[in-house]
Amino acid sequence: MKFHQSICPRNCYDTCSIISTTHKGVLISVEGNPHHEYTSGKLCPKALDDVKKVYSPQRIRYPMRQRGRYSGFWERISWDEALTLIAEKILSLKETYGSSLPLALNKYSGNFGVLHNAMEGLFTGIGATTRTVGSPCWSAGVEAQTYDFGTFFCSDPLDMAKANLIWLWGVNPAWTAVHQMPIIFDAIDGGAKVVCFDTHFSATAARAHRYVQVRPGTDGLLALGFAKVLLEENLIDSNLSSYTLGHEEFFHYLENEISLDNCSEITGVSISTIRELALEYGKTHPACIWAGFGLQRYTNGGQTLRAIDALGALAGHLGEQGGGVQYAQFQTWRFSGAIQNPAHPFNISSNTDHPSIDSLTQNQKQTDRLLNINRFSEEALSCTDPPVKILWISGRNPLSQDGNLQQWKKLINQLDLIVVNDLFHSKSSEAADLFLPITTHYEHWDLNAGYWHYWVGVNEPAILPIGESRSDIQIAWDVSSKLNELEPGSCIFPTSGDEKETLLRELGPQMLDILGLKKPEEILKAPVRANFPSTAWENRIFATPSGRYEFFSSQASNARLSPLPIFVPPLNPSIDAPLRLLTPHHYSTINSQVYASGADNSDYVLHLAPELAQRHNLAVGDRAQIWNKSGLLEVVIQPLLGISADTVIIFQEQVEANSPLNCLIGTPLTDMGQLILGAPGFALNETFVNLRKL
Amino acid sequence: MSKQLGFLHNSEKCVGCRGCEMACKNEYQIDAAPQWRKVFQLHEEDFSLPTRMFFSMACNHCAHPECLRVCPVEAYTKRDDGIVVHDPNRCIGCRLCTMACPYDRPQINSAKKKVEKCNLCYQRIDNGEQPACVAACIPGALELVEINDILDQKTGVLKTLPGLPSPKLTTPSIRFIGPKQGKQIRRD
Ligand code: SF4
Ligand code: SF4
Ligand code: SF4
Repeated sequence: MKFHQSICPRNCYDTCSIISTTHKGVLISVEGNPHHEYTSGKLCPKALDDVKKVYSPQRIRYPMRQRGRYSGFWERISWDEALTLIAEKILSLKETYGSSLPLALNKYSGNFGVLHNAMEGLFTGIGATTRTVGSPCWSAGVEAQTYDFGTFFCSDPLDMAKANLIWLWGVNPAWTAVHQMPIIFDAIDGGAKVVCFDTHFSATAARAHRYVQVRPGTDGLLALGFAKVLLEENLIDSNLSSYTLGHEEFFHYLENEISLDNCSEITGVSISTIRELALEYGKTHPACIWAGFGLQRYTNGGQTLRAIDALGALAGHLGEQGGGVQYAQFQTWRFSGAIQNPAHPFNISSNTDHPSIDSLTQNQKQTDRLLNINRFSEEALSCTDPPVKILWISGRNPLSQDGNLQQWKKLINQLDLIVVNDLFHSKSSEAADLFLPITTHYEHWDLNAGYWHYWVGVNEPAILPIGESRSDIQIAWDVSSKLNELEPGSCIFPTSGDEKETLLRELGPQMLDILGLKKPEEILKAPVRANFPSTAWENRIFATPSGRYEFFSSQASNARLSPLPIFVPPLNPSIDAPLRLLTPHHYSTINSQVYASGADNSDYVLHLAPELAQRHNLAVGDRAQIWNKSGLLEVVIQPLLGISADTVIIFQEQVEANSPLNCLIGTPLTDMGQLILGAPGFALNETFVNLRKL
Repeated sequence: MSKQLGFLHNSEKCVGCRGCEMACKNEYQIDAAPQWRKVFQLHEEDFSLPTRMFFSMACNHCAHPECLRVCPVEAYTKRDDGIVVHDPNRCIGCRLCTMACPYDRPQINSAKKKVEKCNLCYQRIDNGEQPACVAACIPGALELVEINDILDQKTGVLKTLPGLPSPKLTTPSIRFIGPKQGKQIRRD
């Protein structure tokens, strides 16, 4: 029996450290690493299914070509055929259009391992191409926190155990960050009180002392209401003037623009509850707020986060051990970026060390055609000079996750070649011409960091690749090699390499310093915690232009936003689509990533208030339709207490249905995201539908 | 029998993540369908407010196991520590036990045409380790305990939960810590 270190590469708060066990080269078991303080020896059900996933009969083991998109007639081809097809197409397009811009990459977080950035590296190596910018996930919140704090950074999640009051705001860790639950339970055992704010009564809310139901999209106003009470009751941190900027202006806004009557009416929370909670938050130290991602997936999402940050600042909870406003962080991701920025052969001498990322990204920005990932299909269709002709989808399943499927259909019709690299067939591969089988994190080297906890570690291969699968970086080397074989000099991305060496090069001087390592090789022993202090902003020295916490942000006003956090109403339902549709994560999935032993549902389940069900004469198990101008979906009814009558919920479960859930989704955008991530985020929760019985 | 091992499940801490279910599958690489351990949601109607409460149940290693009583080929034995062990080599797949168990825990594996069930990870216990499901439970909601009077006299320890068969049938070796309800301020 042999043991190996792995890291769960899913887009998940927990980024677990895994010990995998092999016997005679076969993976037989996976367990949480007991020496990792956040994983603490335990894994969630998604990871515990990994052995089955690795050997699943459904996994694609060979390169395949589809005879006719959506036909399902896939035939096995050799790697050489697949690579030749891709390389020839790239070269012929370059010749036709005199540019490599017709080549587009759509990649995101299917696997967060650093070596997967080889795909970007390959594209950079080919020339100026069409790329995605932005994120479907967290953009508005990231930007909001950047205005307030200067960068977005959170405390070590273990710090939450020290809190005396925890506000879980729009987050359901019971299902999406299970490893935080024992920390919250420890705090409760130590006497802390937990309040959960959410649009619906979740498994986390059920374990809180108090659950407060907020009308979707109005959380920012609720935070401003709390702030107003703090101001009225004089529960304001008396040191504000020493470390914040613009609190006077903010007070003025609260005094003149925020009324509790209005706040109560819009948020659906009574004035007495607002007062009571605000007093408790103002008087209890330390008090921590955890703001979830769902909160900011509205057209006013960035303002919501700014209002919550401001509330934390006003009460003096920032920088407090066990306090703060926690969202996420990216400080442990300061990898060298050598992979995605291959050294140009003409200035190879100046690039013997790591190329300066900044200058290269600068270059790249000037040449690449950048499309908002959340409006990819629309923006790609509007590219005409030259049009997009090849689409490579990697680490994503846009046809199951993106909005505006009608535009996607059009785009697919215009494309000469669609390549998908993945483990399993997906909604997206149904439209693909080529499927390239990739390895799992048990079959390749990689390097991963968390965006919630502070740990970074390597993933070592435990078994040989299954079938003919190859790692993303191997595929990138192979494509480069084929391109250079057909036309020498046509791609500057390396044509071969060593995965382990490549990952070690990602630990540049800055990362080594953050991790407190002398040599990159030291990371091979075990995961390492970045040596940041456990409490974010503990010295109350912020990374903003003023060095202070900025209630009043000039950066925001330069971006044509209000300099102060303000309430902007979310979108309203219309007569044609009177119900807000929320699609939160389910415990068994991460977006479209599911586990093999998950229940095979053939129907989407629509959760709704019993009262709303009654109004439509619907009982449990009845069939119904929900629709809007984007699409139509058949659902099965499940009345549930704890959902308000203006909202319906479909959890993102694995469902084998013809019409995907995202057929109902358009592409509303968030208010923030452009400045920091290059594009506004996806206001997914601003989706409205109509309901009828079948 | 010198003692009776069993499970203590805390519904307040259980978040319904199914980690225990999958840890069991990971340990034994059980086929997709049989669920030796299964997480159930408590029926909301049994409470005055919405609960979102779960409990996790495998074989209860009952003091009076019906499976053992009805099995025609003596595939079931009860160990000295109370663990009810099923021997697939003897099992003829007649399914009498699946019908007899009030908790529906012996599971038929239709491919192998035999019954299988939780044997309380006795090989791990004999090694001084925790059962795989217990070791995997992230919030620490599932524990391996000795079922005895000391446990039963502790406040908050329940012998059954709403909706479960009467414990009188088989005297199951499972105890519960029931859900507490917080204050709910709802708009619905
Ligand atoms: S692993 Fe623990 S918390 Fe998760 S469902 Fe099982 S008993 Fe509940
Ligand atoms: S729970 Fe069922 S299978 Fe387990 S011992 Fe009792 S009767 Fe037998
Ligand atoms: S004790 Fe072992 S066999 Fe029984 S449910 Fe738990 S993991 Fe499965």
